Amino acid sequence: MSDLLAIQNLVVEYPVGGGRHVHAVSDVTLSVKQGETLGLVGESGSGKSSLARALLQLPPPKAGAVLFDGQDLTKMRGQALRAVRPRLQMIFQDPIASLNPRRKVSEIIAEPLIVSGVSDAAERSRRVRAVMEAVGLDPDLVWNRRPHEFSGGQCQRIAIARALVLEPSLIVCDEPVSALDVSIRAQIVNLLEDMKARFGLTLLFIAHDLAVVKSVSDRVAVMYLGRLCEVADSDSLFATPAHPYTAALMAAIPVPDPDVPLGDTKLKPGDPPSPLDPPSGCRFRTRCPHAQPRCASDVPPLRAIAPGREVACHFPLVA
Amino acid sequence: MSGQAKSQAPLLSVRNAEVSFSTARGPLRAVDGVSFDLHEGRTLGIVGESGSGKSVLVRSLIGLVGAGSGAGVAGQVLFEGRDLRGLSPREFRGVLGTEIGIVFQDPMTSLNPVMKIGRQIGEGLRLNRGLDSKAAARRAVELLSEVGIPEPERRARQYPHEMSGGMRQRVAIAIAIACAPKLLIADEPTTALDVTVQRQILDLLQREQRQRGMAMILITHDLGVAAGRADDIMVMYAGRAVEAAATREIFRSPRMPYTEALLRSLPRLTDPTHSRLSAIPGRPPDLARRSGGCSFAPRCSYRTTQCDEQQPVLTWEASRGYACFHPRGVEGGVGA
Repeated sequence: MSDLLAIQNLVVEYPVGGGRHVHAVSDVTLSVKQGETLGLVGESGSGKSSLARALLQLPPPKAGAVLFDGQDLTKMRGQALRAVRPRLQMIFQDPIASLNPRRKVSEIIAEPLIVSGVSDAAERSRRVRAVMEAVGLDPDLVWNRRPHEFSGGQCQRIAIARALVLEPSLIVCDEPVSALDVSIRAQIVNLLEDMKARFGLTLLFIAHDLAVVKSVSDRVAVMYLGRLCEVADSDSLFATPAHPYTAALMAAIPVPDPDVPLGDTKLKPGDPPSPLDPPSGCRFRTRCPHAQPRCASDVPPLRAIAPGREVACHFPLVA
Repeated sequence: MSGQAKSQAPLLSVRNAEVSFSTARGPLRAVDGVSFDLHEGRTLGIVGESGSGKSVLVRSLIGLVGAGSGAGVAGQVLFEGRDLRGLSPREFRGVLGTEIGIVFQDPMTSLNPVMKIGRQIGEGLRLNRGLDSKAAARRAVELLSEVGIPEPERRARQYPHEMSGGMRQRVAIAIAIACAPKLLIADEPTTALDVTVQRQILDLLQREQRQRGMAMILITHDLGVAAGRADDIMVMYAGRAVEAAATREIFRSPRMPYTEALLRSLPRLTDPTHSRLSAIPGRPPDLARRSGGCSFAPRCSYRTTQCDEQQPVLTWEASRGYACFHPRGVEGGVGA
């Protein structure tokens, strides 16, 4: 399958004063194939949300290319970028904060249609109704209500409807279920899977909950302190992690089964370093149980170790 | 945890705890008749979703939710046989922080931002244990070292904002255990932390708990956290305890359909990708508009008219309890 999205050597940095920068995303190259779900995992400060926003040009990255259907979004401005935007949508973590509290639900979902120039009000109403029904909201019940009248799960349905109304190709889901209660999460995960199948979507699914990511993703990319550690298909990544950081993440997951013994993360004690001043060489080396002198001097490049498997480590756990 | 099986008197015994708030839409019963016992050295996991009442319950036990915050509180709370609800504020201060330690979810808001770390840790020792400031400062450094903070002398002179989230939670734990409490309450202690840091903090809590023989109440919405750390689990839904049992029994043979449905809805790493999750339909009820029946009935697949009309009470079968007319895996129940 061809790549719908190709991110090349992406760099995102934020100035923090005194000439210092947060190195949020450093030289990341990653692609998303047409019709797949790519999971992106990492802890806070790993740069996963910065990457998502940079590829939507919110704001544009410092360097690198973002090829969407062959067009480099970083080179586009104004009208040209607006013409592509409807095909790229985003769903945010906090469904209540991401909806305008003063607008009616029907207006919130219709807004993208207005912005993209659908001027016929009847046509807008028809499309808003259709998308409400698709996400499981009863148009007659919700049409004139406002976001505060809904629970978090229902608000996330509204946000999904808003993202779908322009019939996008790619939806970036940034922690779409993290703020939801356990009993509601499965409803929204299932809805995203249904919408993906029904509308032929491609998803970039960002989350820190590895079990949710495993459940929806065809391939998974793991980030640590702004760099990619590993990219692999979901099953092999979870069965045999190649990067020591991926292995530590897997071992740290609290498994909801008292008969599964706690895994050993093998991490060196200490906290993750600051993205203001990331370690030289491999950024994971300060916590890595296998670190060697070479890890401090050479940045390990992301390289293929098997078909469809890439790892950025001098001493991968899977050869 | 039922207490029936153990002869020794429980460290903490709670009977018919109730907490209600008055809201614009009428009274809201956030905690509705919860009872449990906790024995020395045991860890009780209290599991529930937001609004289930798990935090409010525990905060009401230690006086953090009460008349002062506009809440109506009822029920009996015995700690080592003493009725905590009957203590004067002065007597209560002697218990809180010394015999009962607390760790909250967000260390950034539970720590004092304008007081040095070492002084915050030593405060309880000076006020309650009669240590002079030098001895308290020395002990604070020891405690920092015990909770795994490198360079404890230097860190003791820092402020909370100079530390990472994981470090701050270690400091909060050092404060909570400074006076050697018999009970440690941890309210979502790792929810704000990353998964690898969460692991380190949970390991630390468990190690301290075992070494000191403390009892612990671990409040969490994460069934994975509860599975790995709790001896017993109490499941709360809509302000009520709906199931209570040893951890393994909760996960292996849940009685209450809510517990069963919750466990089934979790994605598992062992499932193949794109497996459909078995979602629970609907959502938790509005506590200001309680029905007369079981709170879970509208979402339950075993619901009968009895469930709509009568409220099931937590009943005990050997060492486990459940509040359901149609318990799973029981003779006469739907799962039999």
